[in-house]
Amino acid sequence: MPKRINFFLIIIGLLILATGPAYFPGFTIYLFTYGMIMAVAALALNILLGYTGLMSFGHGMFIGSGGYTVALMMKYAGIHSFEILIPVSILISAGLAVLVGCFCTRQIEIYFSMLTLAFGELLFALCSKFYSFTGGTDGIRVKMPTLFGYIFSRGATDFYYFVLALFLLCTAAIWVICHSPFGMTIQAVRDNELRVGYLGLLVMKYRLIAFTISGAFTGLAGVLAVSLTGHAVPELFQVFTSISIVFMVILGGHTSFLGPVVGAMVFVFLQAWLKPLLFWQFFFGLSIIVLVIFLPGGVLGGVGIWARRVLTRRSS
Amino acid sequence: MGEKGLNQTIILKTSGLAKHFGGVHAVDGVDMQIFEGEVLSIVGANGAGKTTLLKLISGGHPIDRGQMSFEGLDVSRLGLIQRARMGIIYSFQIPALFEHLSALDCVRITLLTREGKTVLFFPTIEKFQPIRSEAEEILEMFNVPRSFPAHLLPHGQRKLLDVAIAFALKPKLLLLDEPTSGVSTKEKGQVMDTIMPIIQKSNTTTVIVEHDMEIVTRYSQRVIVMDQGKILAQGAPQEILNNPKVGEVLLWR
Repeated sequence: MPKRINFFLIIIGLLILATGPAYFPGFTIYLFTYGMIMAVAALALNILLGYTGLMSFGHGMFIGSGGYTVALMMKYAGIHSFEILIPVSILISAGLAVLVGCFCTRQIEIYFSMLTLAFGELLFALCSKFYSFTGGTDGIRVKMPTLFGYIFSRGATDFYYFVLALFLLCTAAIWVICHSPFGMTIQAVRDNELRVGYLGLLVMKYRLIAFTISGAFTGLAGVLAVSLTGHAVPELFQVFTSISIVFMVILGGHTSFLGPVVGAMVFVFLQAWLKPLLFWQFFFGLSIIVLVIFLPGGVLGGVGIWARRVLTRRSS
Repeated sequence: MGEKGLNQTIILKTSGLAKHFGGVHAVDGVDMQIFEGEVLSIVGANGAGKTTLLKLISGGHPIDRGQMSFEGLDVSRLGLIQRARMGIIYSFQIPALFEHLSALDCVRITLLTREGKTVLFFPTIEKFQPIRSEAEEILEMFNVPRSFPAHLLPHGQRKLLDVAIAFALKPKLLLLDEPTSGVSTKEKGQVMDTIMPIIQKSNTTTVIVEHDMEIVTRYSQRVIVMDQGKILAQGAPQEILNNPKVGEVLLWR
């Protein structure tokens, strides 16, 4: 039964995303675009949190590395096309992940989290102080890149569909990775790393690979994020970005595969709706607390429990 | 089983093996041989150093002093992972399972490890049909239901699943750390009756740490008695039972 509900919900979600631009106002479409971009980052983080059992507080660094790769390549190399920017940014983000991961993944969980946090802040400091190269705290303006010569118009829906396509592609790719032999092995690492060692596998290697994959996908989210907002700023690297992604994952539910997607959407819309209010952070925090307390296991987990309850009541 | 002729090829040999934790000499100069194809039991009181000895052999603890050779190669300095890859496999006293995964997935991951396929990112695990059928076969042999998450299984089945994971690696030397601990007296026989025929059929060299002398005499060809980190006596099960020194040690367990 729950499987059929999942299928049903996914179809509804896809229909809304596919037909949205026909009836939603421009700002809502902007939020959907942003939500899908952050959903890619949240899904990528969940490879670590939900599947490998590692909490990264530094995933902002990959949003930053993706974003700044785009900004710097535009500024210094004059490259404006997605087909070059995306692969290069993914490679650079993956490289950064290998570098940082070599230090972090040898540590046990809590030190892993603290080290990722520290590396994120380090890059933030570097980026905001290295004025002559990165533009310091002002950041760098990013023009909307082109795709094989096609020019996206800001405010129109063509970029939305481009993001939708990439979002679906990434979701499918991450789903396959999570259910592949590698994906099963990292779940084994999450559940019992001691035993994994006794099977003859080097735990650190699997953590490092998971961290790298996660970083690469988050880097792609960074590319799309700065393309959408038109601005690369040092704050992308910072802890608030990292914590936001963690929030999305927890909010949506890290135990279900699509939880982070729901979490990212809820997060982005909640933030946008509450921002006009005075003390919006207060209401934002409050709504997060309410959601987490009353929907433990995240929004998707909550919906699942509710659906099961309704169904069993009807069948009995 | 005692009359089955022992293959006299030595698969593992230790000399002066020692390990201490702080001031406690858990294993204190153990010289022993394990012969290919035999089932060897290690008995002794709590704290005699049985588990530590198994962990020294498996590489779970680094060796403080002494030498150890496996299939003629010096493995004293090799770590846990290298020794596991050589075929020395340890099964835990307290089941160490992948709790949120189904029994089928626990065994499938193990088989993928054995086949060196753990760094494949596609296709999904369901597409590996031979792995699936072998895992199902192993679970059937060990009598463990395949679809429940490991943490929902009753204790006896958790013990069996732990051994099944170790067995799935096709070990050359299988180290079973108290396969019946925590299992009710009634179920002990069931657990051993499930495990031992599989081991005998596959002719796997096995070391069992066990408290229950009845199980030891029934299933093993040779027994080593440990006391305070040293080997007190070794020999055929009947000799051990009749040894007055041994009775003294095992009584106060």
